[in-house]
Amino acid sequence: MLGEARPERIQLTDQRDDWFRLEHTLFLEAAERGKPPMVSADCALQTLKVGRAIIEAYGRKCTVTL
Amino acid sequence: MAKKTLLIAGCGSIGHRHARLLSERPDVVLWGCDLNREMLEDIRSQATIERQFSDYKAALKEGPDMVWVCTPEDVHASIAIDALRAGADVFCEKPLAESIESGQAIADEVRQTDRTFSVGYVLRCESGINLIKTFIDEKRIGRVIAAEVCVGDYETLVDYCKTDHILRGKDKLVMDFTHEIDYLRWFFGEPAEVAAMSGCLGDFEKMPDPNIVEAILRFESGVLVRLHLDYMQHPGRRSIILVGDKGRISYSVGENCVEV
Repeated sequence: MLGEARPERIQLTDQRDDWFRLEHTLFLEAAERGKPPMVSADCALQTLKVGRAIIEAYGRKCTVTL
Repeated sequence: MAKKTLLIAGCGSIGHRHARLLSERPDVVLWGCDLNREMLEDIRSQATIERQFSDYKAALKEGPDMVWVCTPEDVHASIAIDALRAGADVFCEKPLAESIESGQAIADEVRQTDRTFSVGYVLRCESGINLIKTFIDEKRIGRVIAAEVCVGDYETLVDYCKTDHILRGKDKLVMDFTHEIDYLRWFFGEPAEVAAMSGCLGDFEKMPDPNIVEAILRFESGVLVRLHLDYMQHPGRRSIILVGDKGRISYSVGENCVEV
């Protein structure tokens, strides 16, 4: 039997500009030190393919009609 | 400190944000490039731009160390490939390109150079998404079974209409909200199957088709995800719920509170 669940709430403080500042730092470090990028072209290409698959899926209208 | 010269190619909304924040850094000098003279001038109100160009090829001839591609995605490939060939490191805003063929051309070019290339999926730098990734890896809620991801924002559509490129692509909605697909792949690996329905619904001033998409993705790991995208909600909302066999995580980006 499951006990009473008490969710933990974790408060965060970063703001949108902070995400971009971190992104800039990571890219500049990667370029300076030859480190792998955060999101490579191959990785982003896979994301693009998934997006296109979603578009193809709703384009086909493959459903069961009731 | 040797400063890097960094060309912002595309001075629209996202170009402005990058320029404004990069301007704070002591290690870069910014150049700006846009076909639209007004936008090129406007960016100077928020960032220190040392040189301005209306033609990116002319800018590349001046040898910038880095290029930030912030244009609409249908010209990402031409600018990114030319920049890599000119010897620049390239940061490219998301999505990678407007088509798989163009995206593949960029990836092929990156392989042939020794330059750094990265795509701007900035939610990977957001603390809530990072915390969720850590919790998944630590199995904080056991094995993740399912997720419900929702992103909706009418204002995004209104912003695009201001720069007049929203209706260039029929499938802008999915391509616009690819952050979700990126972080879901980061969390769960590769999807194996997808089903989806779309619509052009409601009574809004601006109504691209589709303005709503509901998709279900089954990942190779077995995780099932329901993905909701819309150009309807105002104010916009970006939320995620993960269901594991030992608990649940919920989070709304912008509310700054992860509940486990």
